[in-house]
Amino acid sequence: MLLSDAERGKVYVVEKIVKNGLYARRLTDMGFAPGRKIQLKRVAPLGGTFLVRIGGVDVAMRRDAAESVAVEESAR
Amino acid sequence: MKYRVALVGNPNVGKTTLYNRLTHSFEHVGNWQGVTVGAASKTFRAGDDEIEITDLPGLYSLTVFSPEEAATRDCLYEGKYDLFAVVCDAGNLSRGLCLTLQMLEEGAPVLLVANMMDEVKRRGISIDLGLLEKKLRVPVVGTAATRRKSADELRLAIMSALKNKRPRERNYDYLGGLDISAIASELGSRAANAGFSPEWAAIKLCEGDEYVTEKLALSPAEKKKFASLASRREEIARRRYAFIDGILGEAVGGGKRRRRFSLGEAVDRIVLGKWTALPVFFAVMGLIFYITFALVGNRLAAALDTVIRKCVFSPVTAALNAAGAPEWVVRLIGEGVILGAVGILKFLPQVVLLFFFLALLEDSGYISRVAFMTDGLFGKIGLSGRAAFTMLMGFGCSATAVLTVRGEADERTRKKTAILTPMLSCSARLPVFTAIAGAYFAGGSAAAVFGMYLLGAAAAILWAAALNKIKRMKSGERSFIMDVPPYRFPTFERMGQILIQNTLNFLARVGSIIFALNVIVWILANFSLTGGFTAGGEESLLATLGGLIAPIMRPLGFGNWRAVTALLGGVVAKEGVLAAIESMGGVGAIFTGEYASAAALSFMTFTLLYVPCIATLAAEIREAGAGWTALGAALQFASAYLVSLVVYGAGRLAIDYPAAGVTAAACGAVVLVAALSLLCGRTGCNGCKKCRKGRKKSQQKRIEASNF
Repeated sequence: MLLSDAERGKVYVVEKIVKNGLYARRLTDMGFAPGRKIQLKRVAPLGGTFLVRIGGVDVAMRRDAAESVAVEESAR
Repeated sequence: MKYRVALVGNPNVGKTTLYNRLTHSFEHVGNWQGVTVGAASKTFRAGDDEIEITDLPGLYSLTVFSPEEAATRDCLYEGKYDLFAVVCDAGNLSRGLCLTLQMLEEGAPVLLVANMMDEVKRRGISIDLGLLEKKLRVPVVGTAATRRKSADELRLAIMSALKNKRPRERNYDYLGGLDISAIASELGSRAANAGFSPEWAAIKLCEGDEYVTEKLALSPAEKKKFASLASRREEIARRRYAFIDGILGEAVGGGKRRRRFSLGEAVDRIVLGKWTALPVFFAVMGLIFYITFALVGNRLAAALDTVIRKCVFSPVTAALNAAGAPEWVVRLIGEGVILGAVGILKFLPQVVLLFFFLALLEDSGYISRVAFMTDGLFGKIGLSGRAAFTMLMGFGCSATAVLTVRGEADERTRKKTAILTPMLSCSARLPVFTAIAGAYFAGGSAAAVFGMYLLGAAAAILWAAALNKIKRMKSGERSFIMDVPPYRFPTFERMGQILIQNTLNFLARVGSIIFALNVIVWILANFSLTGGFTAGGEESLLATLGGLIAPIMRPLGFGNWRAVTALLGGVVAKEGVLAAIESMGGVGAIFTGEYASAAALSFMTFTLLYVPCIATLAAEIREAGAGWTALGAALQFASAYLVSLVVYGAGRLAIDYPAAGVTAAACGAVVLVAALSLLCGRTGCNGCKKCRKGRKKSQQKRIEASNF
């Protein structure tokens, strides 16, 4: 499941980054590493941009960035 | 001994605040990523030693992303620093430690600085710094950059780290099983030639770091062999974070894990809420302008004006007259220097207040939320949410705002943001608007000034949309990823600093560049080449020179040499427009006749849009190159001329036939909105899969998207 389809407020775990390239690498550098907990907090009022919480920080990302993160439901 | 120490770390962890503390500097700080765009250095003495501290722009990883990060990476590879103080946000150690691990893998001498310990303590979290020190095998110090005594603790920690240098040891056991040493031995001499350690080169190869790969100068055969390694990037990241999370699990304790109520969350629910976000934004901006102009600014300005006229202008001119100074000296000092300066000086409260509120927007973290919520709009016109930072800063000073584009990764987006930002009204244009609007639109002056701000923003947005339609200027298919920091409240110390710094900056500008400009303008406006002193007559040098250009401005309603001179002065510094007007007899002498108010509004529009000041042009050339800068200036001049023409025409119409004027204004607004929606709309096929062309397009898009 992709982060862009995630349910708001629910905690997931990063499975992998499904795309390659500069922005995909940036995501890894910003803490989007496999096995880490992630939560979709809200969608921007004008749409198209997501606010995500990972490792204690909030990160804003455009839809295409959210579409490049595969998540799975948290075990706990 | 002389030592060099660099402050590095993730963006927005407080490096510059620490730097300011350590070196008693006033570098610009703010609660968002990418405030610091260039390195700053200062030396302090500790006993017999001299320590040069350098503050570098923040970065997430040693595999870089944007030009500002590249500058920091290069500093690391140059190897001229004796110590890297890696600053981390103690509340978010995992990401900071990930950078620290990379630094250690490279073999750099590291001091780990866990900053914002005060915030952590407030949340009831304890961090065992001793355990971190033991596990990571680096010295660790905890600081709170907003507290003064942190500077001493950090200074001591830096000294002790410099004196007790540990042997360079590379520790990457957590990367075991990835054949790092096997790849390293294969790279051997290649890595040494490029100036890297083989192990480091091996790790970077596995991460697909283009910079290191290029430096290694691999043969095509080797390139092919190592190409498959890049797929290990994610595994390396996973291992690093697993290692870090393991350490932090032991070292970090306490903390109310799930608080029922968090103030930040509650505020976000309103500030970022679907229906409340935009009203809140406009309310905040409106309040700032209301306080700056109406509530405080205008009254203080009027009071200051009276005080300076009564206490400086009158006594000085009287004294000069009594001393028998020649008329031109009295008038040069009286009109050229004092009145010219007063014209600007009386706006000190407004300008400082505006900067103060902008700083509050930055420090509170609201500006990052604006970027988040406007990214959707900016994305449609080929800019990114980051442009919100730059453009909001542009309300303060265009020249410094333009520099903040450096954190933007996409080249065209970066350059377009740089050349469009000066269209937003900077604080130096504010006095021009207020003075002119105050003289000609008594009741509606606030509306006229606010209208200028809206017009500037509209022009920037329209041009961004238009440029994005041109193939060679279309932004790359780049995304937007940005940290949204927690809300923070600036300390009283910081608020005081903002006020004092901005007051001093303003006075320094008026005292130097504006003063010089005024003297030159006054002399040129009152002397002729042949006849000497002409007392503001129509034969002066400027009247002759300005008279040559003036006819061009006639259709705009201000085709006289004084207006032209003021605009020329504004190219040096925008405050110069008003200062020049004041030293040439005030606004009343420039806009005369039946259509004076239409001409005044047209002049305001022209001042808003024409060319940026020299400092801004220089900044644009640095960030976007001469070609783009020229394009930006041309766009601005063209828009200024056209819009002023329309404004003057509509203004005259409104004076002659009030009803027609209203209709014309309404038509203008409709045209503006229509143009914007047309430019923002999608054109052509979007790949909807309903026809063959669409399916083809959507397939092509999918291929492009996989290389995100």
